[in-house]
Amino acid sequence: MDRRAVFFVCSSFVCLLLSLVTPDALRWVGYTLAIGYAVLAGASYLDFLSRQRGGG
Amino acid sequence: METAALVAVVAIALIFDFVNGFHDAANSIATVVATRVLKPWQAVIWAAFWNFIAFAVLPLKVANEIAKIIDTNVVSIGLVFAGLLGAIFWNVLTAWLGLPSSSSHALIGGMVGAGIAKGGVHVVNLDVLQKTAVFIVYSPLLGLFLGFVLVVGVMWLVHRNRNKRRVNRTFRSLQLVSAAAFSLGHGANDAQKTMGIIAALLVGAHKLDASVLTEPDSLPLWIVLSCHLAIALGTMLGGWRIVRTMGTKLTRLQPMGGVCAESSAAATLFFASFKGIPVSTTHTITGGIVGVGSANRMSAVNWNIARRVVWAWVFTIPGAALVAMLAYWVVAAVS
Repeated sequence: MDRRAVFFVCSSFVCLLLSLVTPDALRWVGYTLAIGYAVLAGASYLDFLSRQRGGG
Repeated sequence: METAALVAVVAIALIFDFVNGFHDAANSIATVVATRVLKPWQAVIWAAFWNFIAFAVLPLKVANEIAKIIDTNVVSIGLVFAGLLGAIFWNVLTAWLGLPSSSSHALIGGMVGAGIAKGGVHVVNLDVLQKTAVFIVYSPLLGLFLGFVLVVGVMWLVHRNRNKRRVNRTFRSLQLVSAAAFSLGHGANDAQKTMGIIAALLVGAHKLDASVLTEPDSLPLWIVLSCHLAIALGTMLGGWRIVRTMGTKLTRLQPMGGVCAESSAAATLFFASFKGIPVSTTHTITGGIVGVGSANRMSAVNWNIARRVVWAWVFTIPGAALVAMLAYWVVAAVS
């Protein structure tokens, strides 16, 4: 299991939840971080798969 | 008598700023010392210099926000004294335990606790508190995100360079720039919190016009300079237990990692200062260091230390608030 991808997914989820209670003017920070962490989770998982296939 | 008490509380606020420098500013030099780019004494002078001149570079929006956290109509000498007492007690306790908690949040917790003890929950400016509370989580996550992206980008750029010694030398030089940027952000965001408290105290005591709290950059220069001087002096004396925790125990850093961690934390602090959000320098640099460490592998991060750091964050505002409430009730009973 790719622990880093799991961590990034959790971070993305936390940012998304937090954006619900963020003042309107700063809500974009939560959305941007949530998207950013989701992208990192995907990239980290792909990296994990490529390492698995490469045997290392 | 009142003037003497006012001067005494302003002095305590400046001592808090000094302790803040002692407690938090060590973060500015943790990575630069851990990677042996500078000797500890050189690093503290470098950081203190950038701490001090931050007022000339970044706006004073954080000071304005902090000054408004408690309704200035109820702010009194006793309230600010109790708030500072709560924050100082919490800082000393966490420094003694070697925990990198946040002086900024201790100060906010202290003021909120003393405010609630005096006038109830309605005297607390919930907008400022809400903004501060969400950024307790956002600021390390932003630092972590930027740190990770930056270090991956930099590794991608330099991985073809076979001259590792040259790459290392380049990043050792760059660490001076990133440490300066982080110290600048730290000086701006942290010194302004004390400025805000002093301004609120003087407005509450009718020694200063309330308009200074709404107009950015209109605080008296003596408040600005004395706060920056106090935090710079605190930085120079440093908190070495926390330097060790942040610089070596959380994850092992090379110069390239140090540059990325500090740059990401500096970017987060600049953003917060421009938006008037009081954030913790400890939180941001922790996020940056963990982001850099996790780019290599998750096991590169000491998650036990990271967990202790998170618990210190969770308890800081309520802990300092509780001590400040007790302190206010004692002050009110005595006076």
